[in-house]
Amino acid sequence: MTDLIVDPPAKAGRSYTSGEVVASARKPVGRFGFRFGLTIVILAALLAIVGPYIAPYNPNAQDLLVRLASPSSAHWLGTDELGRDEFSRLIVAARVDLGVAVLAALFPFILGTVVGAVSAYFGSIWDLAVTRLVDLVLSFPVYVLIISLIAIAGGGIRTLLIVFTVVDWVQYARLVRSVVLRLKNEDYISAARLGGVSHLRILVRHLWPNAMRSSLTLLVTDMMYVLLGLVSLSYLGLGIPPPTADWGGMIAGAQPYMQQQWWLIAAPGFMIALIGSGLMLIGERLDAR
Amino acid sequence: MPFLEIDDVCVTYGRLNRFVRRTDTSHVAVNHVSLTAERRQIVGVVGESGSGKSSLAKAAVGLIVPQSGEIRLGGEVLPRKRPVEVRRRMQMVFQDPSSALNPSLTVGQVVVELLRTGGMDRTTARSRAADLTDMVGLSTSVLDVKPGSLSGGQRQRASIARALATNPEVIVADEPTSSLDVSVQATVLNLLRGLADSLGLAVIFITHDLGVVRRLCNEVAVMHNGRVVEHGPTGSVFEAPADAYTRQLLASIPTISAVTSS
Amino acid sequence: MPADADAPEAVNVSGLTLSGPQGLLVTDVALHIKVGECLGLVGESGSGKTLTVRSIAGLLPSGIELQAGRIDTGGRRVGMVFQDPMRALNPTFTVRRAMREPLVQHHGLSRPAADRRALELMKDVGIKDAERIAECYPHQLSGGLRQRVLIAAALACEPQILLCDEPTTALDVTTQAIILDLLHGLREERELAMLFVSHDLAVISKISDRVAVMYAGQTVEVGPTAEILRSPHHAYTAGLLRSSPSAGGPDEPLFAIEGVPPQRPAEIVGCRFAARCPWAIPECTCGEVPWIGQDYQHIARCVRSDDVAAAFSLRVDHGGWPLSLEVDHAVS
Repeated sequence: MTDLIVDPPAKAGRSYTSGEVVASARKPVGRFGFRFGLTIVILAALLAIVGPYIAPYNPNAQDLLVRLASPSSAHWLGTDELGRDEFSRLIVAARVDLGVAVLAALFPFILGTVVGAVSAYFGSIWDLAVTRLVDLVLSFPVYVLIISLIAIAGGGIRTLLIVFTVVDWVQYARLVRSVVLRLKNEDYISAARLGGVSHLRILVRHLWPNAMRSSLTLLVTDMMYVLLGLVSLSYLGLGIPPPTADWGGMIAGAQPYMQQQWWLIAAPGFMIALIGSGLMLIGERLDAR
Repeated sequence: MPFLEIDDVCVTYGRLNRFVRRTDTSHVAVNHVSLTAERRQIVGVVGESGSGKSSLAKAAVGLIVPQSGEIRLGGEVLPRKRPVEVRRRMQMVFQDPSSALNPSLTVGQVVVELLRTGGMDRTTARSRAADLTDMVGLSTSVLDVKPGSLSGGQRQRASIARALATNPEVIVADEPTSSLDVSVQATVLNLLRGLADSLGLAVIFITHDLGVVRRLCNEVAVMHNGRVVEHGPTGSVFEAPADAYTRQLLASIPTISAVTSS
Repeated sequence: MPADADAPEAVNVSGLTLSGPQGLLVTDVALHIKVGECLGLVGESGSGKTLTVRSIAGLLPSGIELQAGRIDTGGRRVGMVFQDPMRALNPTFTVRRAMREPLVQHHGLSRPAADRRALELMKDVGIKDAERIAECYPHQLSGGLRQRVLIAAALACEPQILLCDEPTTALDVTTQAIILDLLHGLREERELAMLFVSHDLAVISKISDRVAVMYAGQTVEVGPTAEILRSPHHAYTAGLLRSSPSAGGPDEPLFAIEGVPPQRPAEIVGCRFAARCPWAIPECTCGEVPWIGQDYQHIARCVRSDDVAAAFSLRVDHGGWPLSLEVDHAVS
């Protein structure tokens, strides 16, 4: 009875579509990748917190006599074009860039999630208004919008945060809206309404936890894009105003000296790439679950 | 005067988006339907898909506002937008046990929430929740468990406990056993029968299964395309169906003809 | 109509054992279907009936493996009709395109030839106005029509074996009757060997010649349908028959089998139904229960099949389903 010979069963007239073959070729991020990404992000967060306290030099202290120095025991990464210690600037920039990036991703997350959930739940004309607004914002190319708003509002960190919030909330709103639209028709929501549970309580207790899952996943990957965007804007001179140390500004400042003092660009670039990948790895893993 | 009266109710779909799109394809789901039910009575509503039976259920319970018609409970006309106290008098048991309870909350949390919405304090609510699980034949350990760990039959019973939390006078059961295995179906049906008798509930039992109706319901209404085509005591509808559709329905039911019970 | 006693065997499954991440899901299942015969496979959720039929079709989901056993279809072509046409038909394909795919891929027909053949098949399954229906998308069709399309697609490869996985469960009762007639007709015309899976004994009684009852991953009773319905030899089958609302008069309370199916059936020694069975004796759980049956036509995995069969003619409240305390626990 436990014959291990199996005849190949006849195929049931089913053809395999190309989609199935392609789907199996792409492997999701494994546990190793996730842990690696998480480690990077945690270390980066630690750096952001303790950075200014462990920096050997004042990051803004200029010493024009030693400008563009090579890495040495006195200056581990040399000095930049104004004689400031590169290493100190690098680790202090972590707090600025990461701090602003986190906030610039968090505010849209909060705004978008709330607006999306409420609009989907109550529906009718409010929902219509919100979706039209979302469409309006999305119809602009993102950076054109961001740059125009910065130009209008003037530079500075506060402007950056406002601008990112205004532009970025829409993707959370769309995502959460679709989740809530689907969930609000579930029987247990109807049952809660029948029982007299208030709208607010339904939103917070029943819908929120489910909507949060997808929203949080988006937050992590979004943070990566926000970080890149922030750094790029700073590079262009539209982001974090000098003399505050930030990676984008550091790259911009060091650009004319790319040939000889290449490490002045490589160091901040490496930090951005590393943290960006860390965030990406975490985000992909959350997405896959 | 009957306890529950559904009087000439019409439900139409497709009139959304008045501001943007005019839809001419509005669909009449429930077409001038009238139905009554007394306390301790189980009235069956039978129909196939598209007959409007689910829309009728939702309109009865207040989840949908009917376009026209009245629903009266104990002689009192229920307002179109029902306030909380009125909503709690009529509860629904849903078809799909897996979406009838919030998968991320324990059964206890769901039941207690409904009890507290009615003004009960936390301790009384917990003990009442235990009483309710008893009433539906589940052990109180069910309160600390999420619905995912329960079997289909247990989930449906928990669903009934949830419906009873508001001390309703009417239960509308929308195909409560259609997703359950036949060998556990009877526990839920017998439970409903028992509760109708002991709590004095009026029950409207929506189903596509005529076999169940015959055993459970005193009265039955057959729906087709939004209308009630036949209505009467179960025995006479089965033995002498007046309507052609009812006859067709009865003829299509496969029965295990070889089963004997003397 | 039962098949010829001398008809050859079309499907021979023996010792089928399927394992999944949580252990064995199906244990030692054996099925035999002759050409022209319809075998019903009855079971409730978790019985393993869907996995069994999928393993014959070679469509096991990932994570579930064939650990042991032999599936022999003699090289015959197998067609499968699925349960839910809305999920089995690609919603972005018109019916014409859905039908064209298997014909072109498996039979190497050219597109126009495939389209012609598709229309023929649609007419064979009773779709009037096939030209118009071919241009429709699945969501535009009624449940009955969708199921007919699915059946037509299954027939496209000219199968000699037709596997039906609860094809009428998602349909209205009036449509169900029509589709059952259609399947019955096709079986006779084309002399198909058919395996019909369902949880509904009434439907099985209408369409199958023989039936195999599954519980907790095993077959527990196999035999001619009429005989099993009249005189079941396994307590679970008896319980299932009694649970049907049409069994029993309006004044009798509805019958339900006590308890629930086991969580880890593969770990149970002996009869997996014993925990819920009023006739259970110690012998039931001390070792593997052998198949019992007078002739090899009607067999059951039950040591007390005579008692079960004898009690079946009685009403439940007159000893038809005894309370365990009443049963004679004498070890035989």
